[in-house]
Amino acid sequence: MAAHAHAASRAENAGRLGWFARSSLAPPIAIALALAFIGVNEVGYRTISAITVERDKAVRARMVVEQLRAAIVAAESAQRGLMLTQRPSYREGFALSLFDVAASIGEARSVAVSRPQEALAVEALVELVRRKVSELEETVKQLDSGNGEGALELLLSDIGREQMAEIDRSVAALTQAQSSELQRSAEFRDQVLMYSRFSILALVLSCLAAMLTTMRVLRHRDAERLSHLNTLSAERDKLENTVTSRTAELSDLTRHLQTVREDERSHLARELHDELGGLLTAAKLDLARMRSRLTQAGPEVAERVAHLHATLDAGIALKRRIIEDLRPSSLDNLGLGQALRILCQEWTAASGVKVQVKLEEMSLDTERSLVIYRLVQEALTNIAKYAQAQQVSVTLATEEGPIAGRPQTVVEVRDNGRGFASAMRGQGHGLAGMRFRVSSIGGQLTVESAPGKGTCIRARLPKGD
Amino acid sequence: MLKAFIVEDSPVIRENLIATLEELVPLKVLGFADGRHDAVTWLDDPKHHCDVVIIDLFLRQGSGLEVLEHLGRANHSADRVVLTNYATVDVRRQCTTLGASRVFDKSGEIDALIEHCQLLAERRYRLLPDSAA
Repeated sequence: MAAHAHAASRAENAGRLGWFARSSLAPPIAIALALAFIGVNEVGYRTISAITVERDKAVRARMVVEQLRAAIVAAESAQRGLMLTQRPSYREGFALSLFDVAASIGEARSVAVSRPQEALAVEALVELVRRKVSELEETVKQLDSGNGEGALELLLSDIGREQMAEIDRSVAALTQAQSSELQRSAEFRDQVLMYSRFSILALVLSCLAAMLTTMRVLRHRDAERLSHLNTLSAERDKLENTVTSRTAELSDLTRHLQTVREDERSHLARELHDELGGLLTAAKLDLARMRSRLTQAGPEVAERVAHLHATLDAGIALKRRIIEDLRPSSLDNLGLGQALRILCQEWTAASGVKVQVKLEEMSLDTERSLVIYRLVQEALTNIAKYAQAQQVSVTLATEEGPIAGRPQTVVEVRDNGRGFASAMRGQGHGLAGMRFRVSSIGGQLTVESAPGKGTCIRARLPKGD
Repeated sequence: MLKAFIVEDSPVIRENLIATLEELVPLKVLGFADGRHDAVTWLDDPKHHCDVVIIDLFLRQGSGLEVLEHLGRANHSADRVVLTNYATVDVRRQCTTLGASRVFDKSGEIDALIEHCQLLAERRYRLLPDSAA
């Protein structure tokens, strides 16, 4: 079932990842859109600028053409006036008009240069104007040289009118061309503006879409990360639970094994004590009965009897040592205090180190008693093996615990031996075993030691009911 | 004849002890018990009279110390001796405090127990005519 769930979530992940792979194109798309936006805007601006420049030129060309026509019309009008009235003011006006015409021709030429498409038409117009000017000048020259009739004749001939009409046509054609050009450029400009407008609109919409997509991607990623974190945390919790339950199982198992071990030892000890002990003592009693009769049988028999006596004693001592090692029967029969005293005396006899025993009388259940007994036993064994101590004290007392009204049983084994660095504390299985035994009945073991400062092992057990 | 009562839970030891004592000492074992309760019941019975009680400390039920304590409280007339596998200094002191005249180790001091009983018997024989007179 767990495997199914895993597979499902993996498939889901794969789907989302595919979506990610596609949507991760969003940033490049956004950049491309921004560049396109700038490009469209720039092209639009340049095109409009160019159109505007061309329009300005066309407008100026139109003005110049109009000026030229106005100047030539003014010159003709001044010539006519002069011829009719011979007034000097007209002469002056005529001269000024010619001057204007000359200026306008200059400007027209510059227009022709800047607008090559009109160059020919403008040149033609200028040529017409020149011819008209020379006709006007000729008339005025004849008038001045007193040939008024010749001048009038010249005036009345169709030449002047024809020339003027040609100028008008030329001007009209130019103006027409310029008008239609302006018209076309205006249309083109409108078109460019329209294109620019729609392009920008499209680009902005695309940008918005890209932004929304990105936001969705980010939201998706957040959700994905959150669910991933949740999965991880759930996994961790599950592992922690597993560890806790396994530890509890192991702890239970160890406790069970310890109980089984103690039970078996106890059973074996009882068997040895009751059966073997009885047999050995019975043998000794038999020997005692025989001895009184065998004293007369001679020294050889007496010696064998003495040897048998010693052998039986050795057997009894061995049996007792094995039994005590298996299970302190003194604990069951004499109580904890007595058992501890016996333990300490025997230890002193074996090690030669004096033990100061300070035991408060108290009644404890079998389990607690056994834990305390084994603790003291293990501690004394360690002291004999490693500590090289001169003084050892074993204390059993009742103390006020951390919770008022819940006194604790405190057992302490202290020596003044070599001690050990606390870093080595984990090394001995003896200490670990003690700790486990103590904690299995809800107690706490503390070990205080430093090199050269001795060792103090202290267990605090909750007082039984 | 010295009259004795045995408090011992091991039948093998008990039978051998009774046989040995009755063979080596002018002594008659009147009865035995393998637990505290039975022992106390027998000893408390005014019909029963004995001169010496031999007590093992580890019993099938209760402990020899309790028997000793009871006899001490009752100021029992019999001589009380302890025969145990745990004849340590402390146990000896404790037993003596509770009224035991001697404490013998089961493995090493069987001979001493026999001697003690012989001594008691002799004293009894010597005293008996006096008290009878």
